[in-house]
Amino acid sequence: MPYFQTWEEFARAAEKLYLTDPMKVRVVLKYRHCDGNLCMKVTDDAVCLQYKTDQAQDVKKLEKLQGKLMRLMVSKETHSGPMETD
Amino acid sequence: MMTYCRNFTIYIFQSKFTTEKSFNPFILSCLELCGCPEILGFAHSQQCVCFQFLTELTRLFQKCRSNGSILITLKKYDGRTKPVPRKGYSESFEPVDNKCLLRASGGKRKISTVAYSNLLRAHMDGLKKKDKKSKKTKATQ
Repeated sequence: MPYFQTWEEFARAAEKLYLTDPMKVRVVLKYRHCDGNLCMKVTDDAVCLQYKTDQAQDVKKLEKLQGKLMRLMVSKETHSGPMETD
Repeated sequence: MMTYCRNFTIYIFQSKFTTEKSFNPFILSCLELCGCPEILGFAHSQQCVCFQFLTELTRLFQKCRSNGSILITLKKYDGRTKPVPRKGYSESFEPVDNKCLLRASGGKRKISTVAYSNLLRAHMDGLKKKDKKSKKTKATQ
């Protein structure tokens, strides 16, 4: 899957993907110090969304999204478990 | 697998930090940072594990400075300890918890923890601090 060009697009797609099936989605943050880049991947093993950056200011944005998804993961109001229905 | 990982984490740390006093300054600064001095009591083993996770994460970041990459994974975890049965089999499993599984790996070393919602802040602080620090040093190079 190609990398997303804009952050807004990526963030929206990532959240949408998470909400379709919360139990399947994982969020991977990859940091390479030697190459100086940071990559975020949101995937459910069928769809894969990626965003890559080498800017320090993007860390904040990435972290915000990560926090948002984390909050969704631990919130009590789960969307009627898609895992049980199929 | 999850329980195994958790025990593994506890095991690593028990061998290194046997007493509360020998906890390194990083954890103490973390505790100050998240403003929860009551955790200093270490009443709950889970809380202990979370801070152990942070120290191990720091170590991973330090180790992967020259080469290699760090992967931090987040996943929803509902307390399941057995695999999902195939179709046609009845299942009595009820998702009990709303937790978040946090894994980090760098090369051969893998660590994991289960984050409770009230401890997330502590985690994110740790991550942020680490990320920013690494990024900043990179920018100055």
